Amino acid sequence: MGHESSGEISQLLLGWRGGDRKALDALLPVVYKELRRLAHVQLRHERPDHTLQSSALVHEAYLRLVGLNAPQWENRAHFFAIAAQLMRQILVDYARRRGAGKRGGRVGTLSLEDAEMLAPGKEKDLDVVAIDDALKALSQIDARKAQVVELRFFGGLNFDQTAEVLGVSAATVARDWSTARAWLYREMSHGSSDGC
Amino acid sequence: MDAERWKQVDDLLQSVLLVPADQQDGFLREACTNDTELLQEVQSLLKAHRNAGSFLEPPTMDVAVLAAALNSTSPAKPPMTGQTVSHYRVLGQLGAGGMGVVYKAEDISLGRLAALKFLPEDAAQEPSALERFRREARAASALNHPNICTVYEIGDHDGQAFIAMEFLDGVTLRQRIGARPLEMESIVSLGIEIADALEAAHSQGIVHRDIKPANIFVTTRGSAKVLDFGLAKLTGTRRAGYAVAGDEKMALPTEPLTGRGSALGTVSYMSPEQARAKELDGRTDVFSFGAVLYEMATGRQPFHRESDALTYDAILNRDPVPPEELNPEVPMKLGDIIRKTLEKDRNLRYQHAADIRADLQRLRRDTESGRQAVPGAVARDRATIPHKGKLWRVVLLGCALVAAAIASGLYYRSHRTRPLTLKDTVVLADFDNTTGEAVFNDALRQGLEVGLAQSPFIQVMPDRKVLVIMKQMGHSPDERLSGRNAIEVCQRTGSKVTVQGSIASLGTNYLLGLQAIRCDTGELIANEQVQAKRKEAVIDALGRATAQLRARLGESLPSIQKYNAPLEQATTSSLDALNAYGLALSTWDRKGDPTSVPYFKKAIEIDPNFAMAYGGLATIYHNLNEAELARANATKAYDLRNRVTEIEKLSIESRYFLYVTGDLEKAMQVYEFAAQNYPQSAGAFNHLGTTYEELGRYEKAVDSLRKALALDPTRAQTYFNLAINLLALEQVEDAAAVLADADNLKFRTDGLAQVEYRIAFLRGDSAAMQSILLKSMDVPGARSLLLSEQANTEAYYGRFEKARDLSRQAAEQMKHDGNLESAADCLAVAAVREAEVGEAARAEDDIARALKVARGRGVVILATLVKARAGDLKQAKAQSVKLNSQYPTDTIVQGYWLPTIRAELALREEKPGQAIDALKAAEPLEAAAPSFSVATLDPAYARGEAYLAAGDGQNALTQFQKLTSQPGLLVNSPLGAMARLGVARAYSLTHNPARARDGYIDFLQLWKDADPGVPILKEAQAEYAKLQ
Repeated sequence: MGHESSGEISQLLLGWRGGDRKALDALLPVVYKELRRLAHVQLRHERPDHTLQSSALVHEAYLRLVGLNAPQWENRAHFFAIAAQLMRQILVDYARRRGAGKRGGRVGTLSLEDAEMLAPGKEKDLDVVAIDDALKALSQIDARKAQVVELRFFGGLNFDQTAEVLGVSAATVARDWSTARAWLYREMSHGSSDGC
Repeated sequence: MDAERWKQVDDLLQSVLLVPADQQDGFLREACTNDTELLQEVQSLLKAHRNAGSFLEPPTMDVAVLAAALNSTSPAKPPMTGQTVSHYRVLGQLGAGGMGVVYKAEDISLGRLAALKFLPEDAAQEPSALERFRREARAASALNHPNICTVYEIGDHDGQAFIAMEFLDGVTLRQRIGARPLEMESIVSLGIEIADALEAAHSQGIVHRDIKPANIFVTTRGSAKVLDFGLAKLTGTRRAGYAVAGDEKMALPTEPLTGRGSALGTVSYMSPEQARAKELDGRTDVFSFGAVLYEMATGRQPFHRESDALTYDAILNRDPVPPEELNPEVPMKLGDIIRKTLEKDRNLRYQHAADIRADLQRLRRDTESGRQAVPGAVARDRATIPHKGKLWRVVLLGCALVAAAIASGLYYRSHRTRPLTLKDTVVLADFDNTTGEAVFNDALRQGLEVGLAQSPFIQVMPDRKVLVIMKQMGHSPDERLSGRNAIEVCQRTGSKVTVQGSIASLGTNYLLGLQAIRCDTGELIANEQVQAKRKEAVIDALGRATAQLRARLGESLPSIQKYNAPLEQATTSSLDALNAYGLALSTWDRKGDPTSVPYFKKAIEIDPNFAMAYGGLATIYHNLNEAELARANATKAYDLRNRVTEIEKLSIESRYFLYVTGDLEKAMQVYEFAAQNYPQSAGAFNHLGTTYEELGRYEKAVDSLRKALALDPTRAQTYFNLAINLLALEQVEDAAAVLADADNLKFRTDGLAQVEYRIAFLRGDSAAMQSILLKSMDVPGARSLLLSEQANTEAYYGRFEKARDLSRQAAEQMKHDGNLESAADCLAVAAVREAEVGEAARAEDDIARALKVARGRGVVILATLVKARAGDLKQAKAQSVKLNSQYPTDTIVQGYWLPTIRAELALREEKPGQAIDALKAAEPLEAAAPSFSVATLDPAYARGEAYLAAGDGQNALTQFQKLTSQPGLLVNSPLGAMARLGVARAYSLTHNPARARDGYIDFLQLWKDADPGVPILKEAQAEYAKLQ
């Protein structure tokens, strides 16, 4: 692991799209590692007042692992799909570790500032763990909408890319996105979803 | 919300978004004329949509811009001679240690020479290698000592990290020794310097962990320089002394890392604790240093053997040939010093490098003064050694050259070895089975689990926990645990490694694979493949692959050898049986006890010698209160126990002692042994704790349970157990703190509510008691427990009518929940307390009810006690004889209940002396926890009664005060209240009317709202009136 050339990564992506589950299994650790590595590099070099964009990381990981010249467009979308999911894990893990530290539990490897720097988006107080929890709740009701959010928010995919990954039209993605966003916003501002 | 309803909401929201803003409200009202719920839901989402702003909107990202940025920082090539790196001019390559390069360079700003060490390019991409590289630099740069190779700085050259360090002339000690002893002077002076270097490192909290001749440089001036702190680690604290290593520890390389520099990865200098993969402190360096001294003195390595396995054996078990025998020049004092550094038990070794230094200095002083006295000796010394110098090939070397070779070894090792430490957990994924033969599905994973679980080094995440996490991840319990899911479970739980197996058919052969992946880095750390020639050989092949995997995960060879029951024998040689067993366990975890029974039975049907299947059935029948079936299966498993793995054997033995013989002492010994040999097993400590609890050894119980909790804070049951035992030790606030911990983690179990209630009782917080009770009424398990608690409380205050009613409600609930034996116990406990207050008829009535529900061990014991207390002596005697013969080895029956019953019988026959005698047998166990539904101290209470009957007030007082002084132990047990009356009566007998009066007032005050007709209350009132 870790020595795959960009061609091999493309091949794995292709294999996965063709339904080869093993290809995905081979791919996941590589992508995960690369994302984490990039996150760490960023953390070392960025000044604390800079906010790290998770979607930027995902793009960077793609460029490093696959390169610009190689792939078909579809491969890229699928790469982003994996990366978005892994990015979510990484961010939530960081944030949770930080939370654990606060409770006097296990102290994570990243400081509190690190976790804040990793928070996606511009709003510094956006709580990744809360988003993650809300997304989980949403996926109970509507799995695809939750996936749309994951791809866009954590993976930085646009509507077309998201549509490609999910095999639906871009219009459907846009629809899903607006409902999901409203639902999540309500969920996170009130913390209650009953009424129906 | 169901799917259909959600679609309605979604559609309506999308529709309303198409309507102009000012018409939206009207549109919605019209669309939801008859459905206000729908209206409200969509309205609230619409509002959220309006307010959401840029919530979650991803910023647009220009891929081209990023690409340009990336191209500028593409991985750099290593520098060439003449090139400038930071403020160093590269003068030439000193050496390329396989995968790393070291350059000689000049520091332009300071004009001094330096060695620059670069990580190999691919290793530099590897976070773990990079991390080690940095750690080495940090560790070494923290040390400023003449005998430690100085690190100047850690730099970055075009994105490539490098270390700049002291440039040295000389040879390594390994080269210097060759295969011949050094002269005494050098041994002593180098020894003193190395000891000094170690002392300096240790006092900074840095342990080197890889001291060997190849890591020690001897400069042309003849002084020692210790190199390569790459493996060094900071111990927990930086203060002087040897803090125990924390998060990461040295384990073993699993294969000899030769071929890349012969000294690499050699095990010859390891300390015994290192070979055992224990936590290390500075004393490991003391041992390795001893091996170096030995080699300096004799030219031979003390423990080196033909194979690593034999070398381990030598390190762990053999004493080296005394150095004096190999080299007559070695003074006995030096031999003694070396022997003391090579003590296998680190507590017997030199505790500090400074002590070796002092002894060596003393030796030098004595030798020098001796030489002055006997000049001939010096002449002889010089005569034997001098030509040796000509053999040295003195070369110019950066201290980093050697380090570079070692860095490549490190890189190699970081890939190949010791990914796990003792506290790490492994998550097992389901097998990837491409053979199309379903029999492999559950069989192989089960076999793998058994094979890994026998290792004290490897903690396999229990399936129950995996299920919980999978559920949190939104998966159904029936979904298979794919490699990907396993990685997620692993990450979510902070575990270290996932293991996924695969099986494929190759013609008639089978190819088995085991892959281990570090889930934090995604690194593949092991990929074992074995072939089986036919289907019948697959289990055996799996066993072999599992053993290889254990080595890869970092388990030491001696440990693998010790815990290596052949899988075929430990489980079964039948794939079908193993598959059925695997299915049984997964059904058990997913669907509960009864549904798994047929699978266990099937496994046993196929292989009647399948010990683990009997063991599983025994537990299930025990849980189902099928005592007889539990006993039969536990016995069968026990008879077959010598086939199974060590840990399974311990589990079978403990079940046998608990379910069959009732011998708690033996069960305790088994758990003590398990806890000792599997010191990372939370289960072992938890069981040990509850066994101590049953035996009334509450302090030990608390110790064990705290360990269990530290090892696995995710088991709700452990919090409950710990809190109960803390209460028994009267540590109410500590118990409350444990509950708060459980609460913070959102653990709710029925038992925890019960402890909460007891704490509220002890604090006299009746409002809290009431609210806990009310909250529990809707939770079936908690409901019956809390009803019983409330029954006890009512009885404690003498309100027996209420108590009776509550106990019956609790029993009904238990019956309803299918727990017949518990229901019977509950009624029997009610009967016991009726008997105690003189309500003989009611007691008999209750016990008859109880016996109609079930006739388990608990009911039969309590029925005998009730008969004795109620005066039905004939029956009580007959039953106690029966109890005695039925439970001859049962610790609680023999050591708690029978003595109490015999005493009660003697009391009814007005033979208090005999009663006191009978109770002697109960002394060690009188504070035991005889069963969950009864408190404890029955023997002490009975003894108090006996002394009262004998007219011995003083002794009676002592007994009753045992009960009144331990509220945490008795909590709301009515016996605690009754003991207050006992105290009053005892004071009467000691002719202490004032105290007696206080005692009666105390009791009558407690029972101020008691049912007026209770016989013992009337007696107490009469006695009190007489006192006035």
